[in-house]
Amino acid sequence: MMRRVAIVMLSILPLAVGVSAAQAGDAARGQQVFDTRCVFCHGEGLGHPAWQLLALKKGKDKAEIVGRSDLTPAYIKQVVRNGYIEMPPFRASEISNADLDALADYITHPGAASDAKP
Amino acid sequence: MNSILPKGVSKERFAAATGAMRKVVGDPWVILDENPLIAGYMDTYSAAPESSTAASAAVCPGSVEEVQEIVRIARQYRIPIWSISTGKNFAYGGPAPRTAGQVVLDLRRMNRVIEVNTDLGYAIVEPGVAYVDFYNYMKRHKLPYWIDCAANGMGGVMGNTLDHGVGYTAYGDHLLMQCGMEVVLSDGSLMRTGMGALPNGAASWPVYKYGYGPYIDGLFTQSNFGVVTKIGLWLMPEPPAFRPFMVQLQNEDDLYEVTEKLRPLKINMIIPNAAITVHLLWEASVYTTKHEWKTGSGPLPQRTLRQIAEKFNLGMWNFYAALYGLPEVVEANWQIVESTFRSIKGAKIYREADRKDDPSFNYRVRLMRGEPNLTEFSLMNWVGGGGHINFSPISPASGADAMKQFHMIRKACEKYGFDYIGEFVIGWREQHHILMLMFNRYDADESRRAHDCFAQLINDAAAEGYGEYRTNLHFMDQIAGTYNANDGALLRMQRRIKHALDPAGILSPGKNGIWPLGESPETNS
Repeated sequence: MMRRVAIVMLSILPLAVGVSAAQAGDAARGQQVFDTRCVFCHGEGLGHPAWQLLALKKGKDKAEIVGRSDLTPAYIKQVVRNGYIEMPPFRASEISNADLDALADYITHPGAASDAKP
Repeated sequence: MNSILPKGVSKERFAAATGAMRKVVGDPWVILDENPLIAGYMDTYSAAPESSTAASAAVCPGSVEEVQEIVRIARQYRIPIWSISTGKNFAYGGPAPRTAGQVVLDLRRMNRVIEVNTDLGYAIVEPGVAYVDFYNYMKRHKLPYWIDCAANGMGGVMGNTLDHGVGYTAYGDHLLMQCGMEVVLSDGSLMRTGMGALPNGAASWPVYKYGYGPYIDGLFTQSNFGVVTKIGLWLMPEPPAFRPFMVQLQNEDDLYEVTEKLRPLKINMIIPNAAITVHLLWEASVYTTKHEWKTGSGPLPQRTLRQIAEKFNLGMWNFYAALYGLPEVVEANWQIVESTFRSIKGAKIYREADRKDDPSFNYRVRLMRGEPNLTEFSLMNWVGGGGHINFSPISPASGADAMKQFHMIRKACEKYGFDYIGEFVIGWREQHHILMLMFNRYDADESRRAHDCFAQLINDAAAEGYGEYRTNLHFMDQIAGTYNANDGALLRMQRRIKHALDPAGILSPGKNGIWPLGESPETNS
């Protein structure tokens, strides 16, 4: 019989599981969103266009947005939904409101995501 | 109340239609223009004002059945709906509709990989699957196949294929690797093409393209004859050996020779992937910006280009390709490839180990093995301000055509005050020449010049027998107008098909210059 793999009818972005603390869970989920939606531009080093631009304009210490103390969740959410200069907006159909909340939690408090890991 | 309405639609009719759509998809998934979330449907990169393509609403179905219902409602109320998948075809319009007021049919929520068959090497995907998600899916399930992605790793597998996009592995001609399609027609009925038309034909649907009778999948690409809700695509088996390489060329005139030497390697499939010859500034933008080299506007002079090339160890042209397959075969082909390019005067050949910490080489390597990234977006930092539109004429893969287009396009760029930033993507026998026209979209004069430059390029290219393979929303009609042999026979036929399949003219009006009967760019402006 033909081996038809796969993994039929799965939604693409898996939910984080096994985390009990709500905030840690949100941040872990937020990290997952960051790693699939943001890291191509906001990862560290050349080759990541947003990092490159922020390094030029604000210095390398502010080029990486994760953990920056001057970014608020409200500001992050506003930028994600509306875009900012070279960054395109992200729609609710691609980053849900719940995921956006989690993403903002992660960027402002990345330590919580680490706490969520076993 | 909505401040934007579809052309010719009363507020009462619009309210009734969107109200009916809410009942199908749920309140959160009908986004009117009073909702801040409508900002996500703007084209934020074009040279024209965002308002010229502002949607009146967006509707986001979550299933094929919901798409069918939405199409039926749109037809009943005569509401124009503009289909997008992931909406990331930046430089071509992104998620925005062709004209202000059209309702965006956003298929991003339909984001399932329906099936991956590891014996036959195919996948069936929904419209909302992005390259990055598809890649992660394959990795997560340890499937022994590569995907082929466009340079925009956030882009959509289906959307890119339907817009005739290309990637960089041996499966880089995406439409060539597409097999089987599911389409919602304008009356809400559901059709499967090819073998999928057999009631029990699912097994052959993604493996044999042509079915029985006319082969019609192409009709639903770059068109507005239906809403595609699934495609099958063939996957490249992970090769036992992979050898990417770069040929650095010292002079702009070397474009002729590298293209001539490449062609037989492509036609004979010694080099199987979508090879690329990239101009200096495209690659340099990974490291630097224009402001570091020049204050004020205008293109960089040749002496500065030489300085940039030297500083970042780049060529005036940089050629990238890869070999795939059994190690012995790769090694044998490498001997041919290396000796071929080594014969170009001054050419330097690099392999992966030679440029380990080079971010521009690395992203090319990643693309040639189907790993999504967004390094190419570094181009948006070149002048700043994010504006970019791609001018993309096709030609035979010949050195003479490459040189002719290069000089023609650079001349126009310099006339309007822009740098030439381009690359040639060489397929099997043709080449896509991609000009990345970068401008500061917050500068009205620069945006206007970019628009005018692009419009001139279309005419210049057409006069030389070149046509574009794809374009930005604002130039769809002008380019359609250049494909006008035999008194416009092709476009007239496309419009007849449009009328037959979509008599109400509700599906993506104006896509690629195809308007419903009785409509035109003028009636929609």
